[in-house]
Amino acid sequence: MSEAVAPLPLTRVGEYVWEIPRQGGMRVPARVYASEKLIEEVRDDPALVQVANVAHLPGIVGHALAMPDIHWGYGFPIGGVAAVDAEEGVITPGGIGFDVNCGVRLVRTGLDAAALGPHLSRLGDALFQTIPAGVGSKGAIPKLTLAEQKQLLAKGARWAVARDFGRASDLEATEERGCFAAADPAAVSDTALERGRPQLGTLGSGNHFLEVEEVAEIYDAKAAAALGLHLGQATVMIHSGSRGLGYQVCDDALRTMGRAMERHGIHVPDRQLACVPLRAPEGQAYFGAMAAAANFAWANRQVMTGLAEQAFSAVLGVGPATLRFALVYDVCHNVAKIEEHVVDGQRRRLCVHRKGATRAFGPGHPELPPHLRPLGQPVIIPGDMGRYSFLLLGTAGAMAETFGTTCHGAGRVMSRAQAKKAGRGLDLVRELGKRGVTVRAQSLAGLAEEMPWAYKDVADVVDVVDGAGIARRVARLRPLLVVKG
Amino acid sequence: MVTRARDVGPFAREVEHTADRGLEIEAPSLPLLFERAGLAMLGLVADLARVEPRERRALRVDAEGREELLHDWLQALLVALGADGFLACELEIETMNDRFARGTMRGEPVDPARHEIHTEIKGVTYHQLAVRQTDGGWWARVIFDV
Repeated sequence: MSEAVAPLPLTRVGEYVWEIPRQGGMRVPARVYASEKLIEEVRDDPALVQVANVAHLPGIVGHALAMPDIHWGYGFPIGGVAAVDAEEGVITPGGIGFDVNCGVRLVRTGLDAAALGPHLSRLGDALFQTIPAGVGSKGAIPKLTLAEQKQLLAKGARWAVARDFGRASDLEATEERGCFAAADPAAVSDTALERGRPQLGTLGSGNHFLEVEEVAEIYDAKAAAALGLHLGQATVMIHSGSRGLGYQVCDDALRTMGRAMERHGIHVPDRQLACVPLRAPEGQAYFGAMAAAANFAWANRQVMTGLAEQAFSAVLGVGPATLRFALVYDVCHNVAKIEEHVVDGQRRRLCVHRKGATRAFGPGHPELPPHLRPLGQPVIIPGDMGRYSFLLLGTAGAMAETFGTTCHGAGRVMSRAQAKKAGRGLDLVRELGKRGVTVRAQSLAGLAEEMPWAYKDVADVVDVVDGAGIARRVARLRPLLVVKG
Repeated sequence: MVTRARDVGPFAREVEHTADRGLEIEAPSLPLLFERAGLAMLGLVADLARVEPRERRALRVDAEGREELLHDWLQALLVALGADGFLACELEIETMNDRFARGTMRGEPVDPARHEIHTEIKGVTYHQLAVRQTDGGWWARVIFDV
């Protein structure tokens, strides 16, 4: 479908930075981080109009930003970032997305990837059976009571650790330590609670996955060692979010805010950018519900970590002392957070919306736990399932330029319909097998939509953020086993 | 009149969207447009040819305009799927105007062993959402987050 896209002026203002000057209702200019190659891919895309639309949000400061994995979303582009004054500005569910706290975690193990080879097929079966995937799947643990669910929404990953999914040290390696204190379970609608109740411990479909990966290349030996990583080591990566509960929290808020905007005298160029002042009752209710949904997502990823450990243990016949599962880090890439940043020389309290963008706090940031403070925040960047993913670290450059933010993934180049057409007649499971990747998927059609060629080469994206200094490379991870919904 | 999944095919077209999925739907009447839109959306989720109309459930939505009504109608189908695992293969709007629709859906609980699941739809977006009267009837466009 082609959207009427007015050509936008785009000026290069740095080696990897392009600016759309302020015009029309834009309150600030917009900036896109990209190489020449990546900017050409989006130059005529509605994604650039969307990042300019983001600049219309009341209270936005600095620039409306887009990371190099930018692509056309709904409302915000994927890869979009907006920092809005926490006192005077707005909050928009469109800047977070339906899948609140969609995120990625990387778990290191005590296993050699090479030794896993003969077990990958059985491991794939076990993981696929232990961690239910998409539509119609029920959680691997009994359906929660309403009281249990509300406790979970208040406690996040701590709820899961208290039930022996993973370990307490995992919490230190999770953004917000796996629990948004602002969570208000009472602000979550009954419908959202119903949608989420059967889904704890489920992966979801689309681009969500669980992968077993090998540490294939190390760029910073000291940082990798500090994170407990070495060449040839097996790791587990999980990409999932808040499931139906988060989707409904977003939908509920879009409806409420769509109606409330007129009352607040707010006009935005896309209904999907519906927003209200953060300090208004509707803004506070959404923030509390969004934080509760974020806690659901952290608990969900923590539960799946425990389930994955159980599957490894059953297949390999070894216990925790040999598996040595430990969380390297867990990032959210669809969320809004209250943070302090320096804007034009002044420290300001901001509501930073990241939609398909990852927090990348630099070394010394007080939010980081002591073991990570000297390094900077680990940032996990999944690529496509046929090539590689990356582990990066946040930088002082990100703090100075992008509100402590970097990219979140590869970014699509093909629509899902195009990918399905391109994949017709292709035995994708076999093709991936030739590349040494074992696959278990609920849906072959869904698998085709996620084919490697549907995505940009994530290395191109990582080159930009590393080159621009808004994150730095630590390691490259190669997929061995992919489990998809 | 009941609309069955197999009746929708030629009247719903998938449109290009980089990250998500979009549909354009046409119909001679507004109720039929809503029925076709619902089944076309659920057809993205699963192969509805394998879904049996074993159970009947009532649906009712109220909204502030046609576009919001279509959004809420589709969202109601997603909620039935997400909260109860109920997958509809037949839809019937019994009565509606621009701000209200009441009808029924027939289908069955999702059975991953028997049903072919394609993908999950996270939400019905308002991005480019449109419901328009045309010379021949009605036309709608919806983009879904998947």
